[in-house]
Amino acid sequence: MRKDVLAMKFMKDTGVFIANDIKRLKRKWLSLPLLFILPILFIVSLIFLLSNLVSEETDVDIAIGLVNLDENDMTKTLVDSLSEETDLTKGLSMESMSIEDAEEKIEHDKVSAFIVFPANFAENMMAGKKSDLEVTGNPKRQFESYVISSAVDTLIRHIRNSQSNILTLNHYAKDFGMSDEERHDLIFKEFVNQFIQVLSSDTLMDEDEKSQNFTSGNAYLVVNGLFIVFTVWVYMLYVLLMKDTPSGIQDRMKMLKVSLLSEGLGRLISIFIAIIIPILLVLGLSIYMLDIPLTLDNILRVISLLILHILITVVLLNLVDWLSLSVRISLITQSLVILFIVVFSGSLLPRIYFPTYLDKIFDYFYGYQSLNWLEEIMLNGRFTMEIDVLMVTLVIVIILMIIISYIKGRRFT
Amino acid sequence: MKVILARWLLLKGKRFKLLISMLLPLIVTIVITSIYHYTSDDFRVPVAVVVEEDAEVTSIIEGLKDADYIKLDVYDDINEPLRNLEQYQYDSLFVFDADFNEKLQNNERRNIIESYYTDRSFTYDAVKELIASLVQEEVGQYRLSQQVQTLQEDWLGENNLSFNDIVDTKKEIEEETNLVNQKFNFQGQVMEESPESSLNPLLIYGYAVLIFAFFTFDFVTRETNSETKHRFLYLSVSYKTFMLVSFLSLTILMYGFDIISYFILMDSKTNLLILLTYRLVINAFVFFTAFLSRNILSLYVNALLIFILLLVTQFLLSIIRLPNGLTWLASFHPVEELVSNQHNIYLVALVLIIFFIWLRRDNLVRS
Amino acid sequence: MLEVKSLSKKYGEKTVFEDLELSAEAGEIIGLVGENGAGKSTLLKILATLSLPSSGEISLMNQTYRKNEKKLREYIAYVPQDIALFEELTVMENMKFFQKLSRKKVSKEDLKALLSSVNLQADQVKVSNLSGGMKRKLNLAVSLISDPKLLLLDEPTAGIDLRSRIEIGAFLKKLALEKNILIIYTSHDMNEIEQVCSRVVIIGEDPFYSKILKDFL
Repeated sequence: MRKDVLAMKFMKDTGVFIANDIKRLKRKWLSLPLLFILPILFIVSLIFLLSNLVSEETDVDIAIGLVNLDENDMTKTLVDSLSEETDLTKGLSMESMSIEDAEEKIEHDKVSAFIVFPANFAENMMAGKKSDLEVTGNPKRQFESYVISSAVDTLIRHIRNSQSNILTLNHYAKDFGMSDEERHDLIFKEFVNQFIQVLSSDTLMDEDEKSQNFTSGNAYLVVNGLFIVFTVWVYMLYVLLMKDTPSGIQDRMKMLKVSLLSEGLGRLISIFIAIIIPILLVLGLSIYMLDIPLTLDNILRVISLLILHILITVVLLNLVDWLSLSVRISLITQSLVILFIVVFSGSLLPRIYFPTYLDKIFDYFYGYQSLNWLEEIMLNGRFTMEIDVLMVTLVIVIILMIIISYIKGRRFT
Repeated sequence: MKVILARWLLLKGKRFKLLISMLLPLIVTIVITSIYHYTSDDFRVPVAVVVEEDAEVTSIIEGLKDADYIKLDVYDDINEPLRNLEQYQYDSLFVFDADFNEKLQNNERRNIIESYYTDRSFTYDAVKELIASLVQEEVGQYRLSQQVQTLQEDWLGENNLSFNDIVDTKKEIEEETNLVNQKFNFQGQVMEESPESSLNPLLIYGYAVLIFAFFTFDFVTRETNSETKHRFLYLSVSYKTFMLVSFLSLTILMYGFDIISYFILMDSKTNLLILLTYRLVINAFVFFTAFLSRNILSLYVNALLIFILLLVTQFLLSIIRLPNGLTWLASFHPVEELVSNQHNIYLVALVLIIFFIWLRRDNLVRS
Repeated sequence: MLEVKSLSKKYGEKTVFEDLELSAEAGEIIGLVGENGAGKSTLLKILATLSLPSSGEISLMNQTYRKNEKKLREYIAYVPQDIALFEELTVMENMKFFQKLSRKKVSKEDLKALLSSVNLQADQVKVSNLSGGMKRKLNLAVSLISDPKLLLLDEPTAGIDLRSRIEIGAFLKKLALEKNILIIYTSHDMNEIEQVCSRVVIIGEDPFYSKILKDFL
């Protein structure tokens, strides 16, 4: 066929695929809203939760029980001072109780853990004998147990510190000939002093928050969250449009000289059409609600970043589809690809926390560039963007798409 | 028995694929937990510290370097790290200025360190805690040495112990003594160490079981939507009975794999029975989804949606405390029950009821 | 053997057929003809107990369908228009599968004999690799494992090669004769009807069919 006739045919075929895909999507009108809402729900709750963690305000303190089985005054003072709100126990609410109470409260899910100061705790501690604090966690609150355990770790660190100090003091006092009774007194006072001091270490630091955002901390979470949501939307739409083309239809397509490429391109465009409106809507809403000031050219930059990101992602999914031997393998591999995109764009965990040997990946990965510049523009008010990695990746995947469609098409003739 | 043999006839051709999909949960769990263990230590929080001239803070810096979740950079001038912090390259920044030691020795306790953080710092508190305790140690040592020296004056009239001597003695005593420690247990179980935020293999295994069950039971979709289903009307066994027996025999087979996985992956705090009831619930769930799906592709799409839904709700459940009246809701999340070491009692009951209803209904839709 | 009295089938407002009467004896081969949508397949499905009539009575071997549906299924075999086989299994594996679950005890030799009686020798071939004609033969053979007294076939020879068509026709004739089975089937092929059937029943209103038959037979 002549070149221009071929081109016309190609475009026409692509158009047919697009129309077909849109029609199929329309038929799935029931699952579409679900599709779009589910990730949003996830991200909204994630943001809600994370903003609680980051902003240091928790509406409910973690409840911890304190059980003192030791008669010693020193332990009593220690436990009493812990029951008060201190810097050490911020976010935790500690209450003295009997061991029966504590066990019952765990059963009824009223406390997240309780700490037992065993009998002779102080004595053993002073004599340098083994004396451990027993922490019993609520199996229903496993997430909190980490927080509790690390709070107890800090507590223990302080106790150990004080302990070694007063043991040293004790050692020297003995050496110097102090009487037992006097020593006991001295040590008691000293331990309590040190410990109380430790508990009020709040003002040790002169704290300052620094940021270049003119938006709230939540905006950061929202932008990352939306990024994840949009990426997952692309995946879900792609899966919805996947079909096992029966061999009869494949044969028909070959007869009509319809190329695999036009099918792929058609899918790309259909997904794009289906997703762009919801994306713009949600994006617009978020920008409005977060009060993010964006000039027109920045809006255009944001949109073009998103467009590039979506295009590359869809082509990648398509390539996986064409290269997979079965539907199962295709779905699993695509899920892994999406996971990779989400992780290595830095949306779940920022780049700076990654090990050094993984750091290089970010420089060459398109997902990181798109998210990074989205953040820079929307959160830090930048007026530029770099899209070199994006463009190169786009070109590469499109070339791959053309090559593979050609090879795959040939294989069946 | 003949029903099982008939089912075997159908599955014989795919026995390797079947075996693999039953083995995969174990393999996937091992792979993921290994990756996690090997790399999680390498994920570190970047923290910057500025030590101005004359500040003697080596032991504090050592203490920070020892913390394996921190990646520490030390500067002597604040400008560069502050700039980096503003660009979110550091999680937090701490400054020890030139008269830091003096302040310590004078027992000053307020504002002796400058700290900076951003709205994206999520380990600021933890690092602050750590530095505070390291500083406490320093403070404690100063105080200790002062007291010991005073005591020596008072009792022996001598003054020959230096700060370093005293600190050395303290360190010796530390080595020789069993300092206080914590022992962490969950109620009703015994554990060896405190829980790190380590990955619970049961969590991974639970979700892997869910996903691969869809692969194992996809024949239900295929067969239910094929013409062969109608032939069962004339056979000695109804279609539903045939499927039920298939379901049970496959579940029992999978139990074998679960038991193997149990011994490889889990420690004594997990109950084998709980794992098995979980398997039953998941298999039943997947079975009915496969039964109701019209084709394989929609089955896999449903599988994906269910997976995401369960993941999301589990995440929410682990964080948000349900109001007192609604705590029973959590018992309907199979993976959550599994991970909190609970029998999936409600769900098992639900499964049995559904099976009962399903079997009672007319075999085929008749008009 | 088979008595059908005043049988009607309605889907809501639409009447498929009403007041159908039919009487047949064992050993007969009855052809059902009529225009598309006349209700041939519907009637067949009702006789196969796959569907319920709106009104009327059917009895087989002096037992009514209404009361003895489950028991009567032991004597009925239905060969659907769509191929109801496991594509990924071989011919013999399909036979074995349905034999295992069948109410009657059937030996492997019997299965082989059944296959050769429909001239289907390639018993190790996967169903997906069979030609249309061979699939239809297997479709039929599987239904016969249960040794039925009433055999119902929905277009058993649709779209297959001439040879297979003739073979199936001859087989059915032999079957009705030797095993004294009542066979009812639908077809659009007049030649076939003429060759095989002992009687023809016209369903539907279209006068074309009655005219054609008169001319033909």
